[in-house]
Amino acid sequence: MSEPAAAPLLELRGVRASYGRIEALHGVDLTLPAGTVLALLGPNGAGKSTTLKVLGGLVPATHGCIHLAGRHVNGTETHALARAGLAMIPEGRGVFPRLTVHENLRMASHSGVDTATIEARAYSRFPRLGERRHQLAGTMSGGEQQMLALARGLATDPAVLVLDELSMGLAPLIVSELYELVAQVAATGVSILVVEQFARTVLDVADLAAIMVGGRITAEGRPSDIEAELASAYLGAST
Amino acid sequence: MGNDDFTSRAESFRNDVAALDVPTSTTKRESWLLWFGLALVAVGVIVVFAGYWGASGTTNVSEQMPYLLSGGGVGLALVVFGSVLVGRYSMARLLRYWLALLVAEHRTQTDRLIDAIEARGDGHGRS
Repeated sequence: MSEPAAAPLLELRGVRASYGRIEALHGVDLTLPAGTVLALLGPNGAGKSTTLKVLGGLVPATHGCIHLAGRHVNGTETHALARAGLAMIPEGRGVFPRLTVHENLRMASHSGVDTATIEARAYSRFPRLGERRHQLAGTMSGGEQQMLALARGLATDPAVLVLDELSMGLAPLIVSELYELVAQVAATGVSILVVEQFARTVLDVADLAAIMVGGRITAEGRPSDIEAELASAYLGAST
Repeated sequence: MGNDDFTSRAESFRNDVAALDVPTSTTKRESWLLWFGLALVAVGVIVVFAGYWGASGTTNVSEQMPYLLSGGGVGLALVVFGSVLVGRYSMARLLRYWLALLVAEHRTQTDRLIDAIEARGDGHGRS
């Protein structure tokens, strides 16, 4: 079935960004077509998280263009992007440890979706969270906290979901379980950009992948096409 | 869940993004306001001159009053408002440049100071 040619939901063109005088991104080009899962892989310090921060308006791009659905959105406020349908789940989950699951989910109601709808969506997708509705988020396991972060991100029914290091600090079994959930979410029509340091699991669910090293995209394509590049990227061999 | 979900979600996202309030570049806006201020001053001067021209054509004070009010009053207001805009936005550029200069000079001074301390430290070390 051929889709009409439309602008990709998310596109970075020649994006550069700096922390003070140190440039972290040296011209990043990245494209997320509608309805795909794109895995952004790379070793620690490659600039993956910075790319996401630039995308979410948390770090300003010094050069280049950020396009959402074909529109140039450099400088747009983070909350405006979130309202438009860009949900970001940061590294470290970003849940409120002293609030209950219910209260954490309620925090997503700022977007105009009422708490009952948010909870209904969250518990139907993640039944385990429903069982722990009144539990403090900080007392749950890492995997459950990540589920809560995902549930909160999805509560606003986003079109684009950005995940930063979903697997961080979690056991491989839990990571596989979470990526199964990501695949289910992708199947509902959400376009997903996943940043990961640990490549293998995410490549199973990704439609496209890109490797980032030293603030640049060094390879991109289908997961099977870039698998060969992974070793050199992670082991630091010159490409 | 099929193609319809992808299409409708993407379509709704496109509409929401199209409605986003994307800020224009501050520098561009400042530059635009600076030129707008200059244009107001120029128009104000022309209006004042036109008022003077009209008023000078008659010796009757009651006939001169409309020229004084529209030419003098409005023209002067345009000149004052335009001058404020020019002052505000040229001053912003000047202050920004001045601040950058101060920071650069401060960095240079710090580097010199560090070099001097290191040189002194080396001297002490050797003696």
